[in-house]
Amino acid sequence: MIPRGVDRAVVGGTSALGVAILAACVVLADSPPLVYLRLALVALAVSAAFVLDDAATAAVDAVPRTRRRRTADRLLAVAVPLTVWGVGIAVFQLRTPATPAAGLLVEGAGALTVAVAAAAVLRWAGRAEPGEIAATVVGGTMLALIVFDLPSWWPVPLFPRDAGWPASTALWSGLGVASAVVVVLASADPYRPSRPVGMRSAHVPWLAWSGGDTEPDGDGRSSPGSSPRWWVCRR
Amino acid sequence: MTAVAGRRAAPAEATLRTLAWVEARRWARHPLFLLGCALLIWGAVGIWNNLDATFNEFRVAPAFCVGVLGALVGCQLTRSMSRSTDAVAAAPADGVLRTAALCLACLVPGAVGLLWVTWLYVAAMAMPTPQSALSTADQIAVLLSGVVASVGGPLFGVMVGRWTRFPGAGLVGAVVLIGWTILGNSSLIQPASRLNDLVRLNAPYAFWTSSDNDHSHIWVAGGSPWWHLAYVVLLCGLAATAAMVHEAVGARRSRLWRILAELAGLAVVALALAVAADPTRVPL
Repeated sequence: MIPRGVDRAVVGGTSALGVAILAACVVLADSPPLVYLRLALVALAVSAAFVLDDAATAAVDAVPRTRRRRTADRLLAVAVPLTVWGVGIAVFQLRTPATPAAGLLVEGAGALTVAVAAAAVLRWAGRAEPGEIAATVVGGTMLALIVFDLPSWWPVPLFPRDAGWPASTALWSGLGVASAVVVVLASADPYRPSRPVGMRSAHVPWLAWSGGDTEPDGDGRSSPGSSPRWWVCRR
Repeated sequence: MTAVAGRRAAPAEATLRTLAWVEARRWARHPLFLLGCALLIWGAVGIWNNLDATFNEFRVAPAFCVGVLGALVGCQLTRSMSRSTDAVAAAPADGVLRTAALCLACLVPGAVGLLWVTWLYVAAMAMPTPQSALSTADQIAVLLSGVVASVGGPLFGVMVGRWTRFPGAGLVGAVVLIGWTILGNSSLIQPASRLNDLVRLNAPYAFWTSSDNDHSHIWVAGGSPWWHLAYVVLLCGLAATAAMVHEAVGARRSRLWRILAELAGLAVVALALAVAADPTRVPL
């Protein structure tokens, strides 16, 4: 299930920690222990943050496969923490029907997407292995929000306990969609030309002097063996 | 060549001092540590006019901002040299010395925690705060446990960084620390008993005041704050020793294992003495 190239030890290990916390919640708690469920979510978000890590980026960037497509392949690994979260919440709701399952599912999906988006932005900024920093930023923020209450003037609770679930669900939905858009945008190939294949290149005078490839379907570059003639023309 | 061969090696203490100074500067420049300090200043501004009899529970701020975040910093700094192991191995300082230097650098967040807690105490004394059921000595012990937590988190991070190899281990360690603390303190909703005090005080960070569900009656939980302080100090020693054991070899490794066992025994005794105190809850 985890694609090749993804660090299975990290994704599997942190997901296993999430499984352990969720299982303990299901076995031991009679009422929804939201703090522990969210600790499990931190572990799962850490797992998602490492999905885009690629130590061989320099080599892989040269293969004829777009970064977006490679990102899509890697995102299959996010299914592991997402499935753990979904199954955990579903089992917990079976045991304790008072669990706000829909809100928690949206919250989990949103948190995982935010973690992937943070990693995608860092990768776009040039980091081949953005997982450590993305996990620290997202996980640290989540831990802080679990330990401390938000200021009283803050309108929407991020991790609600009793009240505020609809607003929180709306917020996490928005964050999730925005993060997904960020992942798509930040996964564009930095080296690939934006013009479609077959479009004629702009007129460049020195290519004409050199006698390079200026055919309508050409790419504007000189063909092999004909390159250094421009100085002959100029002389 | 002769001059180089003839030069005496620097004593271990001097090397340790130099390394500790270098690591302390790296710590002080780490973005997460600076973020924690900024959060502490923000917190101080926020609670300035809001100090009541439960003011000592605000020590959770340094415990998280430089303690838990320090666990991430400690883990990252410890692992930061893992990619240059060959070069580092050639340096005239072994792994135990380098780990000890990192452990000494954990005094940087400890100093910040001490500064913040001192400010909190002075501010609370300067304000007309209501009388507390906690004696002044117990209040100081409770506040100092916040300082110890701001050293203990980083030491735990150094230990995790030494013993684990996978990325993200620091955050997993932080989750474990917070989970342990929340699990222990959940016994505050149970009736007062020595068993519940044991569950609460075995955590590295314990809350001492709580209230009933309707927040009408605030009370002080049972147990001895000073013995719990001794317990968490011993936990810090355990974390530092466990971090150093990883790199030690031969007789030094055996000695560190022996120290580890002794510290563990002392920690159990300190925890037992902390729990042995009267478990009755006193209204604040």
